[in-house]
Amino acid sequence: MTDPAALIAAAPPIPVPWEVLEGLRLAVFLLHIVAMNILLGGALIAAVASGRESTLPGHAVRSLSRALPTVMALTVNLGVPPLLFIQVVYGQFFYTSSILMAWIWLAVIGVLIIAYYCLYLHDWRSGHGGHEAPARGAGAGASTVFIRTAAALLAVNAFIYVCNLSQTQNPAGWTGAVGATLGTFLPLADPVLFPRFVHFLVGAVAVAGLALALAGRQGWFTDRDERTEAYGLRLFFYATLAQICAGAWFLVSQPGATSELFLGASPLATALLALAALLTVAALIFALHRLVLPCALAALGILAVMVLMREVVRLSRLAPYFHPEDLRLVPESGPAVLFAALLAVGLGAIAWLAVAFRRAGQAGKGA
Amino acid sequence: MDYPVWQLGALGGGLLIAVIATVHVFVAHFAVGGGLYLVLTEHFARARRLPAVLAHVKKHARFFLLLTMVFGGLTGVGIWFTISLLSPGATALLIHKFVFFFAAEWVAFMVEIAALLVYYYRFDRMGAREHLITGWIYCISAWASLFFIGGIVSFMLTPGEWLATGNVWDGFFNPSLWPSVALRTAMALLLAGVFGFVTAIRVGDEAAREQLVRFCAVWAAAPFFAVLASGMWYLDSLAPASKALVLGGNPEIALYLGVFLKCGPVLAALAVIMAVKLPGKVRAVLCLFTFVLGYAYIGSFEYVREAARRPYLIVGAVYSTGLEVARAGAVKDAGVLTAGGWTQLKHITVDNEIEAGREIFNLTCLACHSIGGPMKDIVKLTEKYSRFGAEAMLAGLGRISGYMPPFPGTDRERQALAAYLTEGLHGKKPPETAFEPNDLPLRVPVAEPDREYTLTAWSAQGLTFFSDADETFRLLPPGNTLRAMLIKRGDPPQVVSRGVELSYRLEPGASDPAARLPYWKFAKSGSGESLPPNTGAAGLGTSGAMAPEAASSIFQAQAVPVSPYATPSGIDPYPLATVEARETGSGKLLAATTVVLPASTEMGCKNCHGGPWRVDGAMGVSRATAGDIAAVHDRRNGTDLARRAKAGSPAACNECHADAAAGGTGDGKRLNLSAAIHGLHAAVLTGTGDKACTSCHPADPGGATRAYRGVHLANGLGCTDCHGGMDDFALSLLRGQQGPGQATADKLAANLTPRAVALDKINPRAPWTNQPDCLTCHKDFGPGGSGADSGFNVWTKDGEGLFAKRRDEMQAVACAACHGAPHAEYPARNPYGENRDNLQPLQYQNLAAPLGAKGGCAACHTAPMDASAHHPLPQ
Repeated sequence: MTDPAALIAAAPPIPVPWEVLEGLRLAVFLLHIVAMNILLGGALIAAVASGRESTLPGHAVRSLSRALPTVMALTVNLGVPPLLFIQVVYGQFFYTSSILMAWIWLAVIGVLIIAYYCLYLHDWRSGHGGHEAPARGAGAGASTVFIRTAAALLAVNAFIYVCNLSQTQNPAGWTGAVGATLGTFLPLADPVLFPRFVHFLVGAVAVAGLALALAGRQGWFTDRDERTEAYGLRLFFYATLAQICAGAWFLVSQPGATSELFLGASPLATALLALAALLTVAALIFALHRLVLPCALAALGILAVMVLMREVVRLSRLAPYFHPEDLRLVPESGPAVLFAALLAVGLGAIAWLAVAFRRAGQAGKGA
Repeated sequence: MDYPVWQLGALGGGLLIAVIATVHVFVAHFAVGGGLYLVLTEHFARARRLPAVLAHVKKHARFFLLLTMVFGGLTGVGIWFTISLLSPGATALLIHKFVFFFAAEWVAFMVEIAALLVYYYRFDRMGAREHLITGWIYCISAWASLFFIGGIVSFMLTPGEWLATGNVWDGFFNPSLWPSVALRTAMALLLAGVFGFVTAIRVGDEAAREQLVRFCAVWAAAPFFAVLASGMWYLDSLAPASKALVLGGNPEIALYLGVFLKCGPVLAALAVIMAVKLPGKVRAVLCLFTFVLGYAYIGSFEYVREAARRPYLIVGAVYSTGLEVARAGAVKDAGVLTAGGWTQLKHITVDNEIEAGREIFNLTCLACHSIGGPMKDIVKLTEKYSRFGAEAMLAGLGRISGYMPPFPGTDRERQALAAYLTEGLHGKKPPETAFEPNDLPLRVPVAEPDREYTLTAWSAQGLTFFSDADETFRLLPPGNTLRAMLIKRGDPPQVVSRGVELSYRLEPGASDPAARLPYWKFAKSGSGESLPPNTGAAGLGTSGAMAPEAASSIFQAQAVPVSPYATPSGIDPYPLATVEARETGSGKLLAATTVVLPASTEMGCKNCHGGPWRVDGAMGVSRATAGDIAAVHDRRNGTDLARRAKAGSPAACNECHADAAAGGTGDGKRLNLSAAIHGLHAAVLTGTGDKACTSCHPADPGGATRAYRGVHLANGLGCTDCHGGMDDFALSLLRGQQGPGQATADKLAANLTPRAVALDKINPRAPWTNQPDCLTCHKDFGPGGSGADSGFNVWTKDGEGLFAKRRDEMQAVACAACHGAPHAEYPARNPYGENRDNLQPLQYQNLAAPLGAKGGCAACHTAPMDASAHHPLPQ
């Protein structure tokens, strides 16, 4: 039986302390996760709500459909830094896992391209360019195939990612692929796989629901829309209840050494879980009382805590083999400074664009 | 080595990255150039108040959005995925080194997306000034992302100072950064026009359509000159080795470079034609052509750029296989199978050899060679090799071509890989049984004890061969020089050369070499006229007179035409010649003897050049083998041997390469033939001992000739004991090459490792005349071992010092007269009849040993002798 440690490649040195790299990764990852949840959840909601009677108003379905391609663009873009930084800190695990499932991992590109085009096609077929066109009726039947395809593909994509990231942190599961790496090796026997996937799916629906509620509350689609708000909050509430079960399932499916960290063995991890629980309860209460903004803030808090818990799990799973402090530091901070400066400039440009966008939007409304 | 290898088989060899990368860059460069196009066209439309053009800009922006954001963006991520799947080690290095440059590119990408979304979705509702600024923001950030990625990609080809300093700024601001960014910018503008056509030709408003199509034509045509100029700048910025590959050193690159150079002007021309007012359907077809050509243009450029890095992924730092150069030494010692954890087999045995070879292939070859697929299919490329040939090619991998990495594993792994490549892929097994020569009829000539004369004869070359593939190239004429010495017995004996006439006659089965050799169909004499059949290079036939040399009294018949193919059938590399001495005038027969005159076509080229033996499965250079030799020679040297062969006037090697054996001084520009052949092939035959020699020369102990058969073999010596190992042998020839060909000699010498002595201590030698001197090992004529252990590096001064011509201390009797031919010194064991080479000793002293051995002086002396004036005798 091959020792998994023998299967792990050596990593090149890093140019800045690993904490900086991880900090950057997690910060952008949180944004990516928010966008991704809205994308995946939104697509699922649109898939269900399009072309049939629904408590979600037609114009909201249409506006949601209209927004999805842009949300996807943001999701993909925000996914780049996490993809980059995970290769710097955990590359030797991530690459190996990717190679084992190479064909499936590579399929992500095709899956996303098709999903993306399906979202655009759905947007047009369901009558883009205003609130005038009907959501149901002549055009509606034809448009559901694209949104359903997109939603299915995005769910498939989520599954592929869950496979890869689960396999990344389980070197013991790689031994079956030694000597015959055909690119189709999936960690289907890993007990965390399905709970993880369910956890993400349900979470996506919850977050997307909450985003819809916010849109209704803040009048992003049209003027303040209480029906959309109510729909979104309801979806968030029930999905979050389901998420509590899914989360528990996810926790117990972890190996004992990892799950017990959250149940007392590690003060930090236990505090995180407790905080997540508290925030969840708060969010549920806010949702019940239709306090959308506080609910959104609490949800954002939950996601942030979850991102941190996710890292605790990863560090725990990889502890027998690796910790980021094992990486050799050969300081070369110049490029990091360059990046920081460019980021400032870039964010400035985006701020200008956002202002210009809004100004033009208001001008359009006034005209 | 540390990562699992994705076993792609037919889809290996880099096919995936080639497809995904070329598709991405096609769209991505459009995304950069197209941004400027949108902004400038919008400027133009607003300035000239052209609503139709402005409407087109919006439509084009939508096309732009759909194509570049979705397809362009995601295929970019696709490249990233693919390189980490195919080359994880090198990717890890790039990512770790340039992480914040990648991050900077992301910032540009993020601003790009935001700007493009705003540009499109607020097209009608934004103020003109703000909208244009949005467009400029897009344009600048798109170019910025090109710049950052361009820096990292160009680093891989020209790492420049980084190799010494390891500094990331040296790596980013590398020698080809600016040229590549210039070329890519020009290409981006060009592709903006190509893609621009797609929407421009469908604009409804006729005036607007013509304006826009003409505008796109300028974009698609004008940058061609900038692409060309920056391409030359780019080429100039490459390291000499990479540049040499692009400029013909690598035949695959030549193909793609050709596509690139042809696409440019054709595309520009098509773009200009598009500007002419043509019917819609015609324009649509032309648009399609420009589109395809545009892809071919940038695709071929990227292919050349990638291939120019060979054999590296990061030139000088990481090989194409992912192995870091710094780690190569350790991996060579430990082996590739144990370097990482992902191999099934760690130890090679006889039973798992082919499977081990397959694993080694995946680690060390799959990165560039598919198995049965379109990318440098290894199945096709290895079809011609024998097991030994494959082992040799792997040993010298990259040295001759310059674009393959050295084989990184142990010798045992190299053998296992060779087994996989020959037996595993082609089912070729090494021959189980050696060739079994049959005993040929032999009659030992009789000599009366009280005879007046002793006639001895020998072949100048006991070991010789020639190629019988004259229809493809002409290497050497069939022939061997016969020498003889007539001694009048007495007290003292006399060497006789006056008043006698010596003649020779080949046995009947050897008197018609032209019946089975093609030489005379293509041979030309020095004057340019064809040689009559069965005439040797010096004008002699299969029988004739021998002429005495005044100084030495040795009778000689030069270049007697002799063939190993007996007529009417059969193989006989050792035909017999009868030599007779007759009194001048009366013609009275004074003495006669029989001697072997060897001939062989057992040239082992087929080990690496493929093809079967030409004749009887025993020897001969087949047309297939010769054809491959000609093809490889043409490819490497830009010659036209194959064409000339096809036209019926095959080239002779000595047209270009000076060759003392075939005659001729060559064209004065190149290495002499021996230096060229040995200098080149030594790179792959290094370290193989005698096998290096016997894989080409007819001394293979299992072959049909086995020409190395004399007393030295019996005493356990091999070729290399006198001639030196292959590297040393080749280096001595290369160092002997002064003047013309010097540069080539130096280049070939750089591939070789001197083993016996240091390079500057290797004494230069000219082929054929500077040979090992017997007295190096036989110090003062002592037995072997009384002097040096090796004959290497001490050469005869000239041809007169050669064993076949030399004489004893009295300068009377030729050494070979008593000792036999070189490589067949008495007692020799001939594979076609044990004593076939020992005829004169048996004739004159009934003992297979040098004449006069064991007190047998009576062979020539009528008085008893108790000391030797010929040379000191062993005690």
